Amino acid sequence: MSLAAAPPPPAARDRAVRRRPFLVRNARLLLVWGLLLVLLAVYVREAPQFRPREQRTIANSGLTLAVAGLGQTLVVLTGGIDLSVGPMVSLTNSLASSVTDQDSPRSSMWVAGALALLVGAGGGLINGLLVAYGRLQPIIVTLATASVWGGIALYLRPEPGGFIPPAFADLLSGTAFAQQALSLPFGLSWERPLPRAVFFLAALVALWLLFRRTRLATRIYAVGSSEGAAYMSGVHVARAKLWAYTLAGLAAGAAGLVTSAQTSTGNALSGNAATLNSIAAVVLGGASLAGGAGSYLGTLAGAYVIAVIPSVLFFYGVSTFYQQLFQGSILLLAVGLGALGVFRIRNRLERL
Amino acid sequence: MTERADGRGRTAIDADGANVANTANAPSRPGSAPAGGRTADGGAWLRRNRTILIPYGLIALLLVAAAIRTPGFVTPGNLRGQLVLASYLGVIAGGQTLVILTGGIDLSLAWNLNLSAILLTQIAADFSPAVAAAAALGSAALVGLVNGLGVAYLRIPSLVMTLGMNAVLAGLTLVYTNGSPQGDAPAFVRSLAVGRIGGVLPWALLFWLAFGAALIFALRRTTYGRRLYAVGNNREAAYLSGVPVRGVLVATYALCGLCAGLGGLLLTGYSAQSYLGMGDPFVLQAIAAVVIGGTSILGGAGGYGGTIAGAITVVLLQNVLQIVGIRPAGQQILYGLIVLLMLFVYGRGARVRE
Amino acid sequence: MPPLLAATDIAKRFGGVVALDGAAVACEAGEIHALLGENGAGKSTMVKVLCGVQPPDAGEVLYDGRPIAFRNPAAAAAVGIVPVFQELSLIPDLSVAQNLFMGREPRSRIGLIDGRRMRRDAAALLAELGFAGINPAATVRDLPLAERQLVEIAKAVGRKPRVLILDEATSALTARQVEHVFAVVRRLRDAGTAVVFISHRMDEVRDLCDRATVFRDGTHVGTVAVDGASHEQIVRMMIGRALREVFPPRPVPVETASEALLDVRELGWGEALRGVSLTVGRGEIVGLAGLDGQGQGDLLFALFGVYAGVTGQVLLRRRPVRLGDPRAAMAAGLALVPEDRKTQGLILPLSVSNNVTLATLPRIARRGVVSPGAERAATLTMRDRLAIKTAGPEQPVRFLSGGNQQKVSIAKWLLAEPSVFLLHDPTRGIDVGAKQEIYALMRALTAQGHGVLFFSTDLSEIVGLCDRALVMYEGAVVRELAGDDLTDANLVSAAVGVTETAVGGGQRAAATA
Repeated sequence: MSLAAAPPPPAARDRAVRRRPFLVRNARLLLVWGLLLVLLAVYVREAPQFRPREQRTIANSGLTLAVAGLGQTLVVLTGGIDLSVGPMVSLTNSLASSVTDQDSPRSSMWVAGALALLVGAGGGLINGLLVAYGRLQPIIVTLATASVWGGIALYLRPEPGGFIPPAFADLLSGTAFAQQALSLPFGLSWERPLPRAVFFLAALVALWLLFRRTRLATRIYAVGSSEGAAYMSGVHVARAKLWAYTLAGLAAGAAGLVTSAQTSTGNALSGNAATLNSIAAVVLGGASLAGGAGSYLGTLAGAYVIAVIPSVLFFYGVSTFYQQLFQGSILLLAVGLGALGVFRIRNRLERL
Repeated sequence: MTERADGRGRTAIDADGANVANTANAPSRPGSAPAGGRTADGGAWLRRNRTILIPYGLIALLLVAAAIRTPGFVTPGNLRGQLVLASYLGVIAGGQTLVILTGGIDLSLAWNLNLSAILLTQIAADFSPAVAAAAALGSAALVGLVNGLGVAYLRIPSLVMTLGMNAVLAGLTLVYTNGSPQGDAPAFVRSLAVGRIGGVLPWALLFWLAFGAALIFALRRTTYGRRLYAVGNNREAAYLSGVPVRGVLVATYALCGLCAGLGGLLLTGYSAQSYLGMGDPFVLQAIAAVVIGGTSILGGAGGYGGTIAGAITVVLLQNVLQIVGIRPAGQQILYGLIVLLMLFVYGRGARVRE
Repeated sequence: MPPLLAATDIAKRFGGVVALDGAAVACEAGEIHALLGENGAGKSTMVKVLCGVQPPDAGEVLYDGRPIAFRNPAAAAAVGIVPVFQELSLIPDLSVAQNLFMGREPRSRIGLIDGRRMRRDAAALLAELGFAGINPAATVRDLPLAERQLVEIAKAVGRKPRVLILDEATSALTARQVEHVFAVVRRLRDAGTAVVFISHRMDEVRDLCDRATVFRDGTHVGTVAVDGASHEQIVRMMIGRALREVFPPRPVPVETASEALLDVRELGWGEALRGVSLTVGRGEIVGLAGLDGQGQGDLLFALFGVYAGVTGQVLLRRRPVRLGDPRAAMAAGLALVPEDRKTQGLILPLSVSNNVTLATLPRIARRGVVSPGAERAATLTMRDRLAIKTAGPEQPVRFLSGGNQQKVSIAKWLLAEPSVFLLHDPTRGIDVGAKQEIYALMRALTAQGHGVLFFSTDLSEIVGLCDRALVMYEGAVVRELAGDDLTDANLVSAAVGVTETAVGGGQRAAATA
C-alpha cells in the first residue's frame, strides 16, 4: 500500500489548531507550585531558624501524603476514587509495628517492609477486582474495604505501640551526608546533612516521569478521559483500572512504612487522615475528578501545601484545633475554584 | 458508553423483559396493580421483590441465630430495645436514602450529626431547650444546604463536597468546644430518645413511625418524590422535562442534613450528653442500612421501606456480633464485607459495550 | 474472487427490538462497498457485528473464508478490520499523536514510549494523508469536529487495515475535506483494501462506491453495482414502496401567512447558530433540513432554553420568551421532544405514568401532593389518544417498543398543551407503522391549531410532511422552500449546492439564499 502519491493538502489556509500554550496547559500545576513556594518562603521567614533539623521536619511532613498521593492520582485519573487509602496506611503501619522483632531488628525490618508492600498491593488488587471486574462503584467499594482494612488494623493493634527498629526510622526519615561532605561538580560541595526524604521525593518524581511514558499510563488516562472511546480503541478497560487500584494499594502500603518510620510506633488510626488529604492533594494538584487529566507533579505540590500549612499556622499562633478545619477548607476551596469553569459551559445539559 | 439507566443492573428482571414486551399488545387491565412485568412465575416474583425479601429475611435469620445462641434474646423487652436503637439509625439513614436516590452520597453526616448534638447540649445550658433544638436542627439543615449548593451549582462530586465538609465540621466542632463538649441533653430530648408512653411504647419508635410514614409518603405521593426519582435516574431527561434539577438536589441535601440533625438529637438523648466522635460509626452504618435495604447506589431506584429493614438488620447484627463475642474491630470488618456482598446481590453496573 | 469479509444471515435483537434478521453483506478486496438503508434499517448494527463490538445472535461472519468471532474491537483490529465510527473513538484528553498510535505506540529499547518518534510518525502520517493543519501535539478536545473526524480516519488508515469500515465518518466534513478523504479511500482500494462505506448522502455513494448493499428493516434487500442502478431503483429498494403514500394529506389551503405562533429573530449562539430568523404559523409544520450537524439540533435546544448565552429574540404568541431556561420556555408554550428518547426524552426505568406526567406534575397535584386519580386519568387519556401499547400505566417504559416509547415522550408534552412543538427527529429508529402514527399525530396537532417545528434527518419526511422547509448550513438558514418547490432535489441541491459555494465563506453562502 502506498500513499505516497498524496495530492496537495485540500486547503493550505485551513486554520491550524495549535497546541495550547505551555502556560495555559499547565496553569493549575504552576499555581499549586507557586502556592507551595510562597508557603515555604513564609515558613523559612517565620521560623526562628532553618537548620537541617527544620529542613528534615519540613521534608518529612509531606512524605506520607506524597507517597499515598501517587496512588490516589492514578485512581483519580481513571475516573475513580480510593477511600481506602487512609485505612490501608493504618493497616500497614500496624502490621509493620507488629512483625518487627527487637532481637533481630535488621532482618525483621526487611520482612516488615516487604509484607507491608505486599499487603498494600493485595488490598489494592481487591479494590481493583471489585471495581473493574465486579463492576461496582469505586466510592462504595473503597468505603467498604476501608472499613475492612480499618478493622484488621484494629485487630492487629488494638492499642498504639509496637516496635519500629531505629535503623528503619532513620532509613526513611533521617538525614544523609551528616558525616562527610558530598563533592559536586564545578568544585562545589555539599557539607550539610540532607533529609533522606528529598531522595525519596526525587525518586517519586523520576518514577512518575518514567511511568508517564509507559503504555499503561496512556491507557489509564484514556480510560478516565472516555471509557467508551478507550474501549473502541482497543484498550482493555478493566485491566487498566485493575493496575491503577493495585498500584494505589502499593503506594498506600509504602506510605504506611513512611508513617511507621516517622512515628516509630504502630497505631491503627495513624493513617486515617490520609484518605481526605490524599484526595485534597490530588484536587489541589489540578487533576480532574472526572478522570483523564492531571499529573502527579501537581499532587506532589498539593501534598506539601497541605503538610506545610499547619506548620505555618503554628508560627502565627493558631491553635492545632484549626488544623482539620483548614484542611477541609482547602479541599473545598480547591474543588470550588476548579468548579468555577462550570459557569462558562453554555450547554446546560453539560452542567447538570 | 454505558447508559446510566442500564447501569441499574436489573439483569434478572431484564430476562423477562421480552416477555412483558410481548404481552404489551394485549389490552391492559384497568386497575392493574404492581409495577414491572407481571408473570405468574414465582421466581420472577421473588426476584422482583428481593429488595424487600432479602433484608427482612436477614432480620429473621439474625433473630433465629440470636435465639439459638442466647435463649433470652428474643423477648419483647429486648426486641423493643433493639428497635429503639434501630430508630436512631433509621432516621439518620433516611436522609442518606434520599441523597443516594439522587445518585450522590453524604459523608458529612458524621460530624454534621455531632455538631448538632453539641450545639444542642451547649446551647441548652444557657437558653431554652426549644431554642437549642432549633439551633441544632437549623445548623444541620444549613450544612446540608451548603452541600447541596456545592453539588448542584458547582457540580462538585458529592463525595468530595461532603468529605471536605466533614473535615470542616470536625474542625469547627473542635474549635467551638475547645476539645470538650459541655452540657446535658434537655429533658424532652431525653424522653424522645429513651422515654416510653405509659412505660410501654417508646416515643422514639412512635417518632420513627411518623418519620418513616412521612418519608415514604413524600417519596411516593408528592411532586418532590417524583422529581427525586427522575433526577436520580436521568438528570438530562429530567431537566428537559422541566424538572428543577438543582432545586431538587439542594432540597435533598438539606433534608439529609436535617435527618442527621434529628439523629444527633436522638443520640444525645440516648446518651444524655454529647461527645466528640459520636457520629463517626454512623456513616458506614447508614450506608449499610441503605444498601441492605436495596436502594441502588447509582441512584433512582429504591426507597425508605427497604432502609427501615436495613437499619433493623444493622442494629440486630451489631447486637448478635456482641453476643457472639466479636470485637468492634471484627464488626467493622463484617460491615464492610456485608456492604460488598449486598452490592453483588442487588446487581451491578453494565459491561462497557457499544 | 471470494469476498474478503462476508456476513450471512445475521440476526441481532436488543431486548424486544429486532435490529437485524437475515442480514447479509459481502465485500471484496479492492472494492468500495456501500451499505445503504433508511435510519434504523440496521446498518450501524451490522457494522458493530462486523468489527466485534456486538456479537450476533445468529449467523456467520467469514473473513478470508474462515468464520470469525471477535471478543472486542481490539481483536477485530488485530486481524485488520478497522472501523471509523460517527461516535468518535478518540480520547479527548490525549494528544492527536497519542490517539493515532493508541495501542501501538513506538517504544524505545527499554519499553518506554518514544514520544518524539510518535509525534514525528504522526506528523508524517497526517502529511501523507494530506490532512494539513492538524498539530500532532494538540489535544483532541481542542480540535473542531471536522478535524477530529479527520484524525479518526487517519487513526484507522494508519493501522493499515485490510478492511476499512467508514460509518458516517464524513458527516462533519466540508465538501473539500470529503473529496480529500475520498482520494485517500480510493488509493486504499487500489492497493487492495476492502472498504465498507456508510453515508446518508447518496451523491457521495455514487461518487465513491463500486457496489451497494441495501438493508431494510434489518434484512438484506439486494446488492447492486452502483453504476448500473438508477437513483430511483436504489431508493425504492431502501424504502420498499412509493414515497408519498405514507404521509397524511396536507390540508388544502396552506395558510402560511396566518398568525405566527413562533417568531424567531436573529437567534445566535456562538459559532453554532448565526442569525437564524424564522416563523412557525398556526397549523403549520415547518421543517428544518440540511446536512447533518448544520445547527438544526442546536436551534431547537436554543429555543427551548437549554443553551446559555443565546442572542436574539424569540416571540411566542407575540410575547417575548425568556431565553436560557427550559421552564420559562415551557411556561411560554414551547415543548421539545428531544433527539435521543432513551437518554433525553424518557426516564426508562420509571413507569409510563411517571414519564407522561413528569412535565406537568403541578397539574395532577395539589400543594405538592400527587392525586393518583388525576395521574391515572391523565395517563389513560394519553394512552388512548396516542394508542400507546402498554401493559398498564405502571409498566416501566424501558419495556415498551421504540415507537411506543416515542409516543410516551410526545404524550408528556401533549399533556402540557404547548402552542408550538419542537420535534427533533421523532421517527428515528422506530418501525414504519409507528412512524405513520406519528405523522398522523403531527397533522392532527396542526389541525387543532398547534404549530410544529420539525427537524428530520430523513429528507422524505421533510418533503412529505412539511408545509415549508428551511435549509440550514453552518448555523444559518440558507434557503426556504415551500409548495411545489419543496422537493427532494431542491432540498438536496440547497443543502449540497450551498456547500460548494460556502467553502469560500459562510457569509457569502447566506447571501445567495
